[in-house]
Amino acid sequence: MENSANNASFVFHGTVVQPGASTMPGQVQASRATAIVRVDEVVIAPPALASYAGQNVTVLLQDQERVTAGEQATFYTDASVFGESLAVQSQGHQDVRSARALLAAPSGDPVKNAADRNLRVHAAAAEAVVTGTVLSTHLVSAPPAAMELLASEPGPITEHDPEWHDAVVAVSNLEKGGQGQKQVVVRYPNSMDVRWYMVPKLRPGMTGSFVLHSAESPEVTHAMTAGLSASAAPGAPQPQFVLLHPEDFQPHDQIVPPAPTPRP
Amino acid sequence: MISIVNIIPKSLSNETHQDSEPNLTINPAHPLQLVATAFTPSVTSGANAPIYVSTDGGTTWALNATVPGGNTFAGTGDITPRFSTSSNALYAGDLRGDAGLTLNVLRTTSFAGPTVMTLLESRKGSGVDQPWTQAATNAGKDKLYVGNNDFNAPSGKTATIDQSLDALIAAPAFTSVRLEKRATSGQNGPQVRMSVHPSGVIYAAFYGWRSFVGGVVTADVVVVRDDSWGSGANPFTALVDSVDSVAGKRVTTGSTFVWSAQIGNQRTGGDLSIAVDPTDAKKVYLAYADRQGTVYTLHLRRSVNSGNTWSADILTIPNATNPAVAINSGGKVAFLYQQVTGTSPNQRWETHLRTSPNGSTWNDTVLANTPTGAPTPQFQPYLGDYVYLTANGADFYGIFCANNTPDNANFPNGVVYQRNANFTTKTLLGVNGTTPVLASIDPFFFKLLGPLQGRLWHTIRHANSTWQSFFGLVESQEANDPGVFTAIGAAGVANELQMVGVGPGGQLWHTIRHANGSWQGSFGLIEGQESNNPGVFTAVACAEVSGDLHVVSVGPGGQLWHTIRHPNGTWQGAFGLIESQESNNPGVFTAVGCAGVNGELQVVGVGPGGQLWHTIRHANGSWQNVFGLIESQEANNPGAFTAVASASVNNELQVIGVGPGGQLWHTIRHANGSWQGSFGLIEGQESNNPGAFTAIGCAGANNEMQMIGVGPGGKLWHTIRHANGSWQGSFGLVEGQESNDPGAFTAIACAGVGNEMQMVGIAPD
Repeated sequence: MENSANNASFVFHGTVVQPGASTMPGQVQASRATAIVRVDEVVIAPPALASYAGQNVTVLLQDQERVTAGEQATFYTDASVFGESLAVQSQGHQDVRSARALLAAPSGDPVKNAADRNLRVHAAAAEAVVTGTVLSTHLVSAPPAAMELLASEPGPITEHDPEWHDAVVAVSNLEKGGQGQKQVVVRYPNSMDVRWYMVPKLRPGMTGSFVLHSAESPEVTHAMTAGLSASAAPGAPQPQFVLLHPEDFQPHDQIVPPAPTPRP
Repeated sequence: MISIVNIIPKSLSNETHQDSEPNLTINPAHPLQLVATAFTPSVTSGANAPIYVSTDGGTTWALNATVPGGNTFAGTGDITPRFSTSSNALYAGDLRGDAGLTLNVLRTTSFAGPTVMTLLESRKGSGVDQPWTQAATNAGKDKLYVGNNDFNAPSGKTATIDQSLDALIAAPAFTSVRLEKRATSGQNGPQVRMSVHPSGVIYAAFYGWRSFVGGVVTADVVVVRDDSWGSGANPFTALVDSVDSVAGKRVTTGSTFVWSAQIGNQRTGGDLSIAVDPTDAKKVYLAYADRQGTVYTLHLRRSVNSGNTWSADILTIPNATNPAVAINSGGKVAFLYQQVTGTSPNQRWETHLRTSPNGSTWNDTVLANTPTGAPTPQFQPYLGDYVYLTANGADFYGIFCANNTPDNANFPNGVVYQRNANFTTKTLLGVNGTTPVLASIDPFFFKLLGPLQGRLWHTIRHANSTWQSFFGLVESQEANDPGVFTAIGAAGVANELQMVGVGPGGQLWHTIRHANGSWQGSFGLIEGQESNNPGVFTAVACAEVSGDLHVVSVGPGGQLWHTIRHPNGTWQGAFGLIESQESNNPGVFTAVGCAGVNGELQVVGVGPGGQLWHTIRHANGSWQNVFGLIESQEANNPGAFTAVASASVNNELQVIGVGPGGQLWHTIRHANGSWQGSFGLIEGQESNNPGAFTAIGCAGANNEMQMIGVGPGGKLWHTIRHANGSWQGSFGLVEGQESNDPGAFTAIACAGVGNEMQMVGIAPD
C-alpha cells in the first residue's frame, strides 16, 4: 500500500454507497468491479479534484478488490473518466486509521499534500538538494564552431524550443548529495512553451531549495535530446544539474518536507 | 442552425487549466461519435493523457485517459486525432507528453473504452514536430497520413508525411515521404497539412522556408499532390511548378512573417489549412498566413485545376490566425479563423465561421467574442497553434478555444456548458455548484447542420387528377422524430405507401402510410433490423417487387447496399452489397433509383463521371452479373447526370436523369431488355420550362409515368408521360395545388399507390 500512497493522484477517505453500481452508466457500466463511493474527505488531489468532498464517484476496483456497502476506507486512486460524474481507478484501499499513519499528510489542503508528496518523491530521486541564491542567469550559448554552423544552417527551429538557460547558484546549505561546492550551475528551460512552462524559471536573487537532477541521468537525457537550438550544438558546455519538474525549485519559505516513516 | 458546446465535462468543473490547441474528428461511419483533443492535463498520475469523447453527436462529452505517455501539465504535446472513413478505427499522431519531440502514431478501435491506444510507430532522433493526421478507408484498407516537421530529414528538407497504406493491420509499415524538393534555410515550417479526396487524390501544403534571419522567416507556400493514395514510387510529386519544373506548386514565393511574434497573447509562426472539394477533386482551397506590412494576415485562395494555378485572395483577414477550411458534400465551403479586433487594452478574440456556396459570396457567423488579455496566459500557445474544421455530408463540425467566462455576450450564437456555470452572474462554478472558479481557456465544439436537411412532407395526386389540398408533415404522424432527413425513397406496396428516409448520421428510417390514410405510429430504424451496418448512407431508393419492399442505398465509399422488408414486416437479416454480386465495379455511386419491373428489381445508379449504371435482381434472388452502362445503349449522351429516378410502367423500366444544366432526360428499358434508342429531353415535350432541376422522383400510376422535379427555388414541378408516349403539355406547379408551402424542397420521392401518385419531399422545417 505504500507504493499506492506514493503514486495515487487522488487519495480520499470515503464511504461505500453501493457496490456494483456506477454514477455514470452512460460511460462506465456497473459491474462487480465498480462501486459508488461517497468522498468524505480528500487527502491528496490535483486542483481539479480538490473539492470533491461530499460527491459520489465511481470507483473502478482492481481484480480481487472487494468493498461492502457502508464500508469506510481510504481509497488510493487515479482519475479515469470525467463525464457527468467521475470514475476513478483504484490502486487499492485500506482502513482509514492505517492510512492516516501511512500518508502523513497533516495539511488540510489536498493540493498542498500532493505537492509535498511529489516534492518528497523528486527529492528522493534527485542527485542533490541544496539551498541557495541565484547569482546570475544566461542563455546557453554554443561554442564558436557551432555558431558558425548555425549561421549557415540555423538548425532545428521549433516552437517547443526549451530556450535552455544556465543559472549560477550560490550554495548556502547542502541538504543532499553534492561535493561541497560553493556554487553550482543549474540548467533550466526558460521557454513558456506548453512543453516547458511548468519548470521553474530562475531569476537572479531568487533564494530557496533546489532539487537538482544530474545532467547525466537518463531522465534528463530523455528530456533534453531533441536537437533543440544551441543547447544541442556539438561542443556546447554541459551543465552539472538540470531542473525538470515544477517542484524542483521551492522558495526559501518552502522547506523540503521529510519523508514519512511508515508504521508497522 | 449552429450549436456550440463547451466540452469540459461537468465533473471537471473545478479545472482552471489552459486547455488550448484543440483538434477534432468525427467518425464518418457513425457520425454521433466524435473525439476531440486539447492541451488538457492528465488529471491522474500522468501515465496516460486524456481525449474528449462524445457518442451523441457532440451534445455531451467525457474525458477518457487513453493516450500513452501523458504528463500532468498538458497531457501530451501536439496531438491530432482522425477516424478513418469507414473502418471505425481512430488514429492519432502526437508528441508524447513524457518525452521531447517524440512522434507517436496511435490507433484504437474502441475510442470510448478504457483501453490505452495501440502504439503503431514511435520515433524521435533529432526531433519531430507538429504531427497532423488524416485517414481514409479504401478497398478495405485504412490509409493513414501523419504530416510532420521531421528534423531527421536530410538536407534540411524536413516537411514530411509518415504514411501507412494499410494501417489497420497489426503492425503497419510506415514510410517517411519527404515533400520538399527545393533547398531550404535548414528546415521547413512546422505546419504540414493534408486533405484527402475519396478518389485517392491527396493534397498537402507546407511552408518551404528559404531563409531565417533575425527571427524573420521568408518562405514559399507550397502545395503538393498525389493522385493515388501516395502509393507510387515518387509519392506527392504529381503537381509540378510551371516556373522551375520542380514538384510542388509554389502558391506564393517570398512570403514573410516573424517567428514567434504574438497577436492577442497568441504566438504566430505560420498557418496553413487545405481542403479538397469532395464533389470535385480538382477544386481545392488553401488558407495561409504571412505578414502584410507589419500585420499578420490570413489569405484564402482556390484552385479549380488540381492545384496548377491559384486564384488571388478570395478572403484576406488581417490580425488573424488559426485558419481551417472544409468543404461539404454540396460543395459548400466553410472557413474558420480567429481574429484580433479592437485596440489595446480592449482587444478581443473573434472566432469566425464563414460559409459560402461558391467561394464568392460569404456568410459570417461569430462563434465567440472574448477578451485577448484574460485570462493571463499560462503558456504558449494561448489558444493553440491550430483549430480544426471538417465536413461530414452536408454538415460542418469544428472546434476552437476561447476564454470560458459564461457570458452570453461572448457567444452571440449561443453556447451550452456541461461544466457548472452561472450565466446570470457570469461565473464558473465548481463541482459542488456553488464555489466560484476562475476563468480559463476551454475547447468549444460546434456543428453547423448543412442546408440539405429538413422535414418530410407528403401529398397525393388522386386518380381523378386532383391533389390533396395540403402538404402533410409526416413527422406529425409519428411518435418519434429521428431528426433532419437528407434523402428519401418511397414505394407503393400493397396499397400502402412505404418510405425510407436518410436521417441524422446517415441512418435509414422507415414508415408506412396505410391504405386508410393512417400512418405507422413511429419511424423504425432499419439498421436495428439488420445484423450488419454498412455505415453512413447518403442516398436511398425504394421499390415494390412481388409484395416486398426493396431498399437500395448508397453507403460509405459510394457502395450500393440492398435489403428487403417482407409483407409480414420482417426484414432481410443483413444488408447485401450489390457490388459483390457483380463482376464489374463502376466505382463510387452518388445517387440511385430503383423500380420493381415484372417481378424483378431494377437498379440504376449514378456512378463516376455522372454515368448511369443498371443492374437487375432477378425474382430468384440472383443478380445480373454485371452493371450495364445505360449510355452505351443510347444514341446520344446528355453528359454527366447528378440525380436519377426510376419507375415501373406497363412492365417497362422508365428512367429520368437530371443532366447538365439541370435538364431532365428520359429513357426506357423495354420488357425484352432493349432500350429506347436515345435519351429524350423532357423539357422538349413541355410548353414551359421551370429552369434547372436538382432532384427528381417518378412513379408509375394508372399506367402512366408521373414525375416531380425539384426546380429553381426548391419548387416542385409535375408532369406525366401518358401510356401512349405523349406528355402532359406543360409542367404543373405542385405548390399551386396546395394550401400550404413548406418552403424550398431539396429531395423528392414518388410512388404509385393504387391508382394514386404519392410523393414525399424534404423541405426545411
